[in-house]
Amino acid sequence: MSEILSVRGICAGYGTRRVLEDVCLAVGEGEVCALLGLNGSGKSTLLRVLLGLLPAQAGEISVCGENLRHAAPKKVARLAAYLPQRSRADDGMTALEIVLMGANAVTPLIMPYSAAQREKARACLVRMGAGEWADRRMGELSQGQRQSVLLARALMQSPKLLLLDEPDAALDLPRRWQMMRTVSALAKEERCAALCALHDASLALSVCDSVAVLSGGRIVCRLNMAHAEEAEVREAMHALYGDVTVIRQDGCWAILG
Amino acid sequence: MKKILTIFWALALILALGVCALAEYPVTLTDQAGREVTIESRPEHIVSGYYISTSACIALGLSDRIAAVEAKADTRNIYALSAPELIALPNVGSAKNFNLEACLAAEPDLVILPKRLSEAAESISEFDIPVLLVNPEDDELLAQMILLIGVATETEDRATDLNAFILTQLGMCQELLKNETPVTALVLGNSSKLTCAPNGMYQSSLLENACAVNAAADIEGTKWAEISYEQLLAMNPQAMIIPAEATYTVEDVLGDAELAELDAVKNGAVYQMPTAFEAWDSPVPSGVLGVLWTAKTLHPQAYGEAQYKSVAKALYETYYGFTPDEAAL
Amino acid sequence: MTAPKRYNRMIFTAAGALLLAAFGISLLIGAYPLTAQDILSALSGGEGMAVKVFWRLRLPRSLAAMVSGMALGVCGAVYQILFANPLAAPDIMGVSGGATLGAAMAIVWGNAALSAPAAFLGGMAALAGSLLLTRASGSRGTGAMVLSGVLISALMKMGVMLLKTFADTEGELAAIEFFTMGSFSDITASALSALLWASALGFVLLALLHRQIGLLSLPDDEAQALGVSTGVMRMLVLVAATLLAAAVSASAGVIAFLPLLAPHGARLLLRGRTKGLLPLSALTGGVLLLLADIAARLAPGAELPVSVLTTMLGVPCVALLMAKGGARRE
Repeated sequence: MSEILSVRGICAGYGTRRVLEDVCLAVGEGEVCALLGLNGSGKSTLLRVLLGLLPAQAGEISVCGENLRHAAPKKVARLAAYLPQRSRADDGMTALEIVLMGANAVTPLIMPYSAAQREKARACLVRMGAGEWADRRMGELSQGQRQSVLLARALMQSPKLLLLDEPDAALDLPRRWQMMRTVSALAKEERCAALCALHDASLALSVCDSVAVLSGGRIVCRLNMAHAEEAEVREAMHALYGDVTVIRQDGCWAILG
Repeated sequence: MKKILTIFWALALILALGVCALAEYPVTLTDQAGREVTIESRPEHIVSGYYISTSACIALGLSDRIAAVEAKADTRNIYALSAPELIALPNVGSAKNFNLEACLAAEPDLVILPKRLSEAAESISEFDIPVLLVNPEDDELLAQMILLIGVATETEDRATDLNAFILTQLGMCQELLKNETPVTALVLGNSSKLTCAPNGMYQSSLLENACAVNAAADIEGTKWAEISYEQLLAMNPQAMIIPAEATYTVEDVLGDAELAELDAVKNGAVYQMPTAFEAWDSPVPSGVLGVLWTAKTLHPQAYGEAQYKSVAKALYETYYGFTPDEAAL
Repeated sequence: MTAPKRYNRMIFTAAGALLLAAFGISLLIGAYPLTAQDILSALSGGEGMAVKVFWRLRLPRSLAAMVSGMALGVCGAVYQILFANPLAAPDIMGVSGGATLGAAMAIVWGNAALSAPAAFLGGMAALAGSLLLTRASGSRGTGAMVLSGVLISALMKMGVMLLKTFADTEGELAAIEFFTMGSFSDITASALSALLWASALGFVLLALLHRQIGLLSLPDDEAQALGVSTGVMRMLVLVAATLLAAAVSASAGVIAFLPLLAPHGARLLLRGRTKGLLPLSALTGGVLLLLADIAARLAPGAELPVSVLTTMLGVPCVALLMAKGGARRE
């Protein structure tokens, strides 16, 4: 499995307040890596730095060997796709129009989207199970449906790296798991890497291929879920959350407070 | 006196220059904006977009040759008195809102507009209609305007007569007042008693002609000046004159508690120009009556009431075709 | 064709027809009596006073009203999409305040004839001020822009207030007030030409940047993550849209409400869909302003300022559409 995302020594913060301190991370092809951490630990900040939305103060970022730090938005968009925590799409736009936006980075500024791109957009929606509401307004869709549309848009970008910022936060239980499984399948089918900041530790440990724990501005622990020992996991969860109960059953993990 | 002489010579000069091209059409004139205007034939459909030029046209006996007038004709008493048919004519708007199409709809062969409507004048000229721009800002220019319209409309004899009449009356007034002590006075504005006419305005020269000194002489400017109660109290004029079209009355000024300390208020020397005719505080052809009224009001011993009324009667009967109500004078 | 597409086609055809009808009617209305006969004669190269009035006064005025309406409609729609706020209008960047200041400066200090270019420059300067202030603040989002716009707007208004105190109450003050109320009564062929060129430029730029406008309605982070250089792009789009608003105020003064009402009307007609909002706003804006100008010409006595009429006509229209929309939902 080749490495897609390589992050080395990233330091970043807001003004004088430093949030990330020497963050190092690597995610490979087809791998879904969960980013766990307490509120305010810098999960969203790290994602924003990777996308160039917040300038890093030091360090290197590369995706498939391309240097992403200081890269122009268009270059970043060709390599990485972003699923934000809160999206405020224009309610009047149709799902198809939203998905088409994913083709922006590869379309010249003043040119309209081509018929081929429209076809691709529809195909992306179908793959995300949102095919039948391609021509419906975003305002008519439920939260979960909107999430699917945004995923379809991410897919439209044909990214090498998927960055998701707490996509589980607003979804109900079954949809949360469904979504992460979809992301996992997608990563493998598209041969891209995915980094997801997640709220729900159980979900992270059960569905993702690896888990990175962000604490004190650093990645303090990296768990490879295929080979992780129960003790290792327990130790990591205790270090992060304190006195919690870690249960493993039927290949899934549950963290109880 | 010097002023009167200047006007006389100016008139003579204009007459001399104008006479050469007179009596027959086409006639080429220079209007008061410096534009050369050629009038091909005797104008029979005149459009006047300015109350001052409309009044001049009536005085020159042109009311039956007027096709359209400026807005708010129904508020001008002088039209009702001397040429009521004008009120029913189509209106071409005001200086700030001139209606080009309405002007053209009246099919004019001469248009008279104030100088600030120069853009509209250019537009109308493009339709091959002669436009005269007038700018009667003082006695001299008023006389020039009257003659200009007279020459343009083949009524120059009457124009010269009117100018001579005005000049004579002004001269007589000066003569009668020559031994009088000038009175400090203030001409107040139309919309507020806290505005007055400063040094550069026509109203200031009106006061001079009536042997008065403008209390606002040290305020420079050619536009109405806003003043405060304090300034007014500091100026302390001996008399205050309210123009004919003011929105407030003598009682409003006398009754204002803040002004109770003014000499003019204490002595009851607050007067309003007669409201039944025209705005005599502006350079209308009958504006000389404003001077005479001011003279008789401020210097009743030297210039008598009877004298003033007889001149008013003469002017309005001869040039406006009606006999003014003595009580309203 | 899908149902929404069919519906859109119908709406656009109806709006286009309404625009042409309004334009045609506006050619027949005015203080100078022009009949359909006169117009036909003019179009086929006839002579005479009526023909001259048609070409020099009537046609320029109607064209100016139509193009101005279209320009303000599109401008308003762009502002609303860009700021993701249905109440956004060029006013929030201080454009009408700047135009008024420019015109006031020309009226009081210079020559009233210069008030058109002065108003245009004033409007664009206000936008430039707002953008610079936003840049200085370092923040990229629309929140900072709105704040900058509020400050610049206040500054412009203060400038106008100051000038009003120096203005002559009889002539200049009235002229300034008149500017703020808007009128097409002194449109001539030359003023129209400037308006047409500036509007054409604005329309072309916005058409080219059409795709970007939709992208800019997203939150800043999202838009940038999709490859948009948000700072530059937002500035370009705003300049193009403001060009339209400034050009209109240069030729006709400040026209109230239209940039707000026309896009809302369009949005309601489109049943909430964004597709086609810009062109339909142009059509609704054109119809609304033509009708307002027709009403202004018909007013007995002096002509009414057109802002009075845009508000008087526009508000009930949009209210009606809102009620219908509400009723349907129930």
